[in-house]
Amino acid sequence: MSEILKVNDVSFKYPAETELALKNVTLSCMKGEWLSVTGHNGSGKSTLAKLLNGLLLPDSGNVEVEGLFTTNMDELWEIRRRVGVVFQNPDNQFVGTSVRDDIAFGLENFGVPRDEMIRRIDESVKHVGMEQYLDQEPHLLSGGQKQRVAIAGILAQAPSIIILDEATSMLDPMGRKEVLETVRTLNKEKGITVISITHDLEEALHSDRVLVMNKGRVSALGAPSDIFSNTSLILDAGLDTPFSVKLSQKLREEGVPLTRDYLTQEELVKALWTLKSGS
Amino acid sequence: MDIKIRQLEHRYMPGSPYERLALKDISLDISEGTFLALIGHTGSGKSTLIQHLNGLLKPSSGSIAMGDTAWAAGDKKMDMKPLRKKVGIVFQYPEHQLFEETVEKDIMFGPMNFGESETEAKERAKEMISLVGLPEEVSDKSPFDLSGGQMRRVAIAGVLAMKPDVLILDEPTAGLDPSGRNEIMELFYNLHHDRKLTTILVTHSMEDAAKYADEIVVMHQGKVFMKGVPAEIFQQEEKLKQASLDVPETVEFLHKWQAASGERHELSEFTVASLAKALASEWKGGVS
Repeated sequence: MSEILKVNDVSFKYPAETELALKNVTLSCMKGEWLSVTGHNGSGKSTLAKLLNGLLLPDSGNVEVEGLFTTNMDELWEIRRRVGVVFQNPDNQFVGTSVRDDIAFGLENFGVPRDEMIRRIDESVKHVGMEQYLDQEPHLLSGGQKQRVAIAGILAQAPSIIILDEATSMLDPMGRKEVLETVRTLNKEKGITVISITHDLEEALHSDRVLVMNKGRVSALGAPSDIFSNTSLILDAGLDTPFSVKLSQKLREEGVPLTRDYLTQEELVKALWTLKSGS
Repeated sequence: MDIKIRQLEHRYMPGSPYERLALKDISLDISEGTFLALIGHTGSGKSTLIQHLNGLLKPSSGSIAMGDTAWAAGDKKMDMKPLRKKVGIVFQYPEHQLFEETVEKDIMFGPMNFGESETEAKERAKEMISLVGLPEEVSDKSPFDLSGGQMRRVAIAGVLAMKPDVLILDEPTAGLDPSGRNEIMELFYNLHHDRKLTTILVTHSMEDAAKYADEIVVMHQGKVFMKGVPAEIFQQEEKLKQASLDVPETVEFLHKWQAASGERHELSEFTVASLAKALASEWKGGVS
């Protein structure tokens, strides 16, 4: 897999602050992967997300998306087209008076011709399963549906990367599921790279790699199985270990001879069953 | 303060084309000192219900009694201020309601609005800042210079500063990181016991409902769909699914284990530790 996005030694400070929000952050993201970025409140996750499509610019270092640099003003708009962000609050990102207008807004901004616009809107709403709602007013939609419309708006611009900036944190469990399933399909079927800023451990577990931020620095980057079995790393970063890892550990304390921690319920049930039928 | 709700109905925008029946025939008794979890998917009526408990909304029909204060549909306008002093609501994303120049002033606003002296309000602000786990220095800072998690704590301190008897929490930990979530929930749980509060927690987290609540009320389509202690509620996975809700992870795991192994266990507590104990008994039994 090739690198689609590179963050090279980026530091960033908000003007009113004395402390750096990001300190010497370096990472790369592979084309087609699902990268979860997690960390405590104030760890720099959302700041990082805003740097990835040039909403914020680094004080030092640079951010490179498919060979384009956010610090190069000529390339910034092209980067914003390629890197779409779904923000946290579904009510703060609806600009149109209907689903159709909302998606059209983004396309108008990029000067897409009308015929092409209609085609792209029809196609993108299908991908998020909102084709029945094209003329619906925003306030009649659920939170999950609004987020799916936001995703359709991004899709219509043919992005390479979708960033979810805690995009499911204000949704109920059903809404969360529907949004994640939508994004998962796009990731699998269209090969769109996903960078998800999240506190949801179960979501992070199912990603390709997990980046843990702690006090503005990258504290770890690796496969979910490596990250989440490192309990001290996780607790130090203000996170929590996933349910199945906790249960694996407690079971061992109770004398069940498990040899390692399991990340998902399915794996743990299987391991317990193997133990039981072998004894 | 005992809470009695009888045949409560709420209609939004009655008589207009947008009329919507949000609550239907709600009858509930919540005894003083109960920690109640109110669960249900978005639009099930949870938020509408809690707004009735301090008179922010008026019943379309039915009646409510909060301790000695009672009101019913069609009553003349009554002064809700004394009641609102006793019933504190922490709304969703309460940090959006911060407005003062300093953290201290923001926390003092509530008590002073309800007639406390400036000295007393200052005293309470100091107490609450430490209670919610913020450093003393934040007191003179602008609340808008704080991190999201800290702003949340300031907003919570502002509600607690009124020393309510009933505390209503509408998803108080949404958007916080896991350790912040635990800290805030432990804070509410300790306050509930130390100050003998009546607490109503609106939550999407089955884990929190299982861990903290004495009783659970499940709302669905504007009605009370289920009511009982956590053990009763979480035994009924199918019924919860009808209300688009899940069981806690511990219960989910037990069901998966039962399907694989045929072994049955009952949990009285829904913690990972008690689940591990129950499962481990199969091994201890097998060896001897």
